[in-house]
Amino acid sequence: MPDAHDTAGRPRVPLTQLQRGQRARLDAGCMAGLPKNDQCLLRAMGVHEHCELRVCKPGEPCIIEVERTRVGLSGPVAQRLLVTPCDMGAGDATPTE
Amino acid sequence: MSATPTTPLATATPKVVRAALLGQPNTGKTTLFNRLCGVRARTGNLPGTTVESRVGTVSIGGVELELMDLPGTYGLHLELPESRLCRDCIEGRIGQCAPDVVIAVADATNLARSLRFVLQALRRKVPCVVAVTLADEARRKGLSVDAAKLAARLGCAVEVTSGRTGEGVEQLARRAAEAARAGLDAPAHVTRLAHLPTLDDDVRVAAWCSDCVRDSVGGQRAVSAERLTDRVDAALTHPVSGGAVFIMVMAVLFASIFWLARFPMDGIDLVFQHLGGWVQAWLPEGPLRALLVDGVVGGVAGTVVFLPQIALLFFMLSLLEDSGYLARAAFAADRFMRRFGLPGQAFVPLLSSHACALPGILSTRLIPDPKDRLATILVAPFMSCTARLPVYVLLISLLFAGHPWLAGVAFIGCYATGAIAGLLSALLARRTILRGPARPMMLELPPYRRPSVRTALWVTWDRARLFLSNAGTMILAICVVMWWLSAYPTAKPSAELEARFAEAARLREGRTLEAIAQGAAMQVQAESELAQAQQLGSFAGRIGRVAEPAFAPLGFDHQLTVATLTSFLAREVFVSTLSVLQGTQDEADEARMIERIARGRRLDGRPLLDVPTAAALLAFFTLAMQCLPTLALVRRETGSWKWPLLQLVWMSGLAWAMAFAIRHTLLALGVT
Repeated sequence: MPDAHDTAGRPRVPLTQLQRGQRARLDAGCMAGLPKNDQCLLRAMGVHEHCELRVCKPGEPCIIEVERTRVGLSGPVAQRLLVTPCDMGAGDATPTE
Repeated sequence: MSATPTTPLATATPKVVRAALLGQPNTGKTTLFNRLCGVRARTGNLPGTTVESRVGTVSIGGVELELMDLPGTYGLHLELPESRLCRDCIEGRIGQCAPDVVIAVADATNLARSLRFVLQALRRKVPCVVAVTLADEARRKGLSVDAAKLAARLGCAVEVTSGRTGEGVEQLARRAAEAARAGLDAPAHVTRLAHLPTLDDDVRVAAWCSDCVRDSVGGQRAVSAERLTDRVDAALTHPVSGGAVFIMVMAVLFASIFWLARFPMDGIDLVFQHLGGWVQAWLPEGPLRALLVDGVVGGVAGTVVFLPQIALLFFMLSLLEDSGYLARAAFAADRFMRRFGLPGQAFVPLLSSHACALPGILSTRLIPDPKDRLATILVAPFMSCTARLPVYVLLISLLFAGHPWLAGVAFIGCYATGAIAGLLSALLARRTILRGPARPMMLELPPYRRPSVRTALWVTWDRARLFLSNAGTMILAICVVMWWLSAYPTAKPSAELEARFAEAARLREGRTLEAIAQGAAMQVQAESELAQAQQLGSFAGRIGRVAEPAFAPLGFDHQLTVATLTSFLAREVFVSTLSVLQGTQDEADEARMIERIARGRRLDGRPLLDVPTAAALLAFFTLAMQCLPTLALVRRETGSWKWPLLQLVWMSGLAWAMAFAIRHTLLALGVT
């Protein structure tokens, strides 16, 4: 089971709980709930540990943006991806690069 | 714009340089390939695999570059079929030898992610050149890439290119040839590796990619475009609005391949009719003429007629894919399709199969997971194609004569039955023979772009050529064999029939109009009886008689059995065979032909098509696998006869069981 808190003790939440425009960070072990192959594929798509993501659209599918790449995730994948929110409100995004 | 730390192209360059084009999906790799090779490219399966690759050649500075466009993959290290294939190809395990140089593609609009992939390519023991693609798009977004700085970071040649405009493409080919000539300098390679982060250290890799981007990319992307894309994405993947757009787009796609394609299809039909007529007029009567007219021209015409549907489908799919919509559409369809073990990408092939299974099966190449793709191929022929329509018209007209509303419901029922049987069969296959974890929907959503008509035309041309080469080889051979089975041995007219032919000829030379008309009618009747004798006496007819006991529980007599068996060539053959056997093939009016078939009798005097038999026949044709060109294509796409044979047995077995159940239920209810 993945840890419910990040290394700084802040709570991790499933990606599905984030709102549109909200930013979050993926920490080590946050993909532990996913099969290994899916973890590898996500990393290859740019969704890797220590990256910052922005929620473009919550729900099913959940659309996130990481390093200028938009990735659509089905509900079960988003549910198992634990993230640490960077801010709490739905805010406007700025480029990550 | 280009940069390279290597030396200029020298005369000692080998004559043919083998280059592999590697990259992630949606990075402009195929557009770059098309720009480099254009119409000279050939599509084929990689040796020993069913995975497609395109190979083309480019002549540059006296050197011929043989370029192989490998499947797009997110990473060379992944345990995915396309990744394994790229690894095998680079290491020379596929094909005759390893490529002399690898061209790694990096997207200028998203360099950070692409560099992770480039890093994997650089770590392979093969000379590498980096093509930074989509330069025009990056410029529009306010970004610029400094090739010299990036080349210094990567330790290999870098060329900034655009497949759309042709920018930097020629220089890229030159750099690839140079790198191949220089070969892999082992000490330099080791030094380079020492400066690159190891792939298992995500933090270092991320930092290295960020450093490279900071050094070599200038400008900032506009934020307003992101907000607009967010809104469009939200609308296109929303259950209601996304579903509505999806239905509209699919309706246009379906209408195009169903309706718009009719016009060129009629044209092709006319051309082949003329060709057949021309061969008939020029060659003397005999086996060669029959082979050419009925076997070759007739057989090829029956398949080539679907070319416009295939071309239109791929043209529109290419535009949709290029625009960025297709990835969103896959999500819109995924909710429904996943219930049956199929991915969202399976929707388009299954929809296309309602026009013809051939383009539907070809379009399964959009599906990334091999098991998902195989499951879709296996069930695609369940969808009611246009070839089933003449049979539906005949049987539904017989069953619901005078009840147009019921006939309409029956039509919809046939389409629904085929679709439901296909989806349930897919579910069964995914839980049994194709068991395994389904690849969850994790798709990159490419940026919205104005689709390139040029790329779409290239894709269409490529697919059309592939389809025609298939039609000209395996499908042609099957058509000729089927023609031979139904044409031989040739029936000799009986003495009585010969006497009637002679009498008809004598009457037609008469002086009165009445006598001439009587002679013509007698001639038609005699020819019809001869054709009937030919159908029943041919090898196909004899096989029909042998197979009759297998179809007897469905109420089929020898005529229906022969017509059913010959329809395995193509479903629409059923109506023509039945009309020959009932002596109505010269009936110009379709309604009168149906009426005469409805009044047809068996040898024992019972009606040929009573209600339970007609209903059983309709059920059989709705579900049975009766299309040899489709089986041949499935063999080609799956690389094995196992799958088309399974398809034939499963679909026809299910059709038989359904027909049996319907007939005996109706008989039990007292329907005759």
